[in-house]
Amino acid sequence: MPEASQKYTFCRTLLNGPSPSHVRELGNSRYPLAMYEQGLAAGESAYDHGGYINIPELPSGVGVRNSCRPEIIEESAYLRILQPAGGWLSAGTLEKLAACAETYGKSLIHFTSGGTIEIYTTREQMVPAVRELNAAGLDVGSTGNDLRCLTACCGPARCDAALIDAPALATYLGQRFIDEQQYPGYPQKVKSGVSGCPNDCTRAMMQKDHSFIGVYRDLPQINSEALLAWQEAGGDLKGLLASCPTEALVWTGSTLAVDPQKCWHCMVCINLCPAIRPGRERGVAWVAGGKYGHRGPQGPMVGYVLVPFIPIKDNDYTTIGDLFGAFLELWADNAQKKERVGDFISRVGPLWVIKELGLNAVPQILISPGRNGF
Amino acid sequence: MLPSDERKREIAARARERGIILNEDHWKLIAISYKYYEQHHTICTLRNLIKLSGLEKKQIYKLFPGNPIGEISQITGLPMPKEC
Repeated sequence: MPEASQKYTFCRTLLNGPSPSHVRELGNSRYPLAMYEQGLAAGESAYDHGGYINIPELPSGVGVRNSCRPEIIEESAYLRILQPAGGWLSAGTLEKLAACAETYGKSLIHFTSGGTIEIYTTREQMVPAVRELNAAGLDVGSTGNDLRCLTACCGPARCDAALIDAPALATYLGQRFIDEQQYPGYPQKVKSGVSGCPNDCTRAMMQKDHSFIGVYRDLPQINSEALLAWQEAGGDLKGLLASCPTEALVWTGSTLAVDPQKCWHCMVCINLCPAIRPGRERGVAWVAGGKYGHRGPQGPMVGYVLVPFIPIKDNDYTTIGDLFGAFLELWADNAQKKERVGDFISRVGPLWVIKELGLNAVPQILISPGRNGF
Repeated sequence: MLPSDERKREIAARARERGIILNEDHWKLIAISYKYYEQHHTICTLRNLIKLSGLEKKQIYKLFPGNPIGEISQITGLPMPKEC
């Protein structure tokens, strides 16, 4: 933290303690720490509402936070960079990104909770900064009423529980719908996420308007030998049986079985016991309408499972892309002003959406969601 | 009612001030906007403009950079759609 910032009393208290401090990072950059200090002292942020900036070359990916303290800074403009699916950045790319933030920005990179990367810069520096980012293999987008950056979990590249290649699906959708991410034209923003399995580490079902969750349609596979070894190593069989939310696990005295009528195909037993592995018939569940935001008539929502199983063969994601594109068109044509996907489905009804998309409605899933949908 | 020749000159001058040199495609979009305005008393949304013109969204953004509907509204003086 620079010597000059020693005067920032409130900020300095946030430097204490063993945990990494955000103030240290802000102080080591050219971020105007006085703005933060003013906000802490006054009890409310020194930043005002944000908005869009009209940069002719950049229809999307640029924005601004207005300032309540123009004597410190007049405004804080930013570039929003599309993060590669899975959230990986090689050290080399990160160095290029850092160089870009150093040259054109405030030496600060913000990894947002929405799965994008932001560089704080000025309006004049935006176009040259984007040229440099493009040369590093990155691109901007994901602001305004457009398709936001598709986020994904790490998938089979890092995780043994992955049922589908989540980053590959997110990359496919991202590339196919790149224009929708960079040219706003929807009634409201659309966030999308891909999770490799029902553990849903990306919280896609609740956080995203569209989520594609890796699922398996057949029953969990139980390896009896591995189960015995697990028990001998101290595995808690009673705890395992009790963990099943639908009591689908049955212990016969010598073998473990799964009741096919009760099993929800969740991941609880699979997470607990290495002897139980997911089924081999794999695909994605398409969930639409999740959101955390309190705006809109419905408030925060968990998404509707519109299609419980879309099979994936040979990493061909065309069907999912077609369905995704068709839904976006349907929503954009029929949604009201500033209506999120969840509010839209809630208003028109999930069955209407399914019929309009030409899908076979399976109403028992909607009438009794506790039942086995497969 | 489509713009008169005098009005067209005004529109072209205002577009020039905003850094846009109007070509055939620009005028096509402006004509669609006027036609839509006659019926709805506002210009149409970007989605409707894409459908009515047959042009791609990307092309429209190239013709009227930044905020295409806002630019058309500024240049022609016609009111923005209620949805915007």
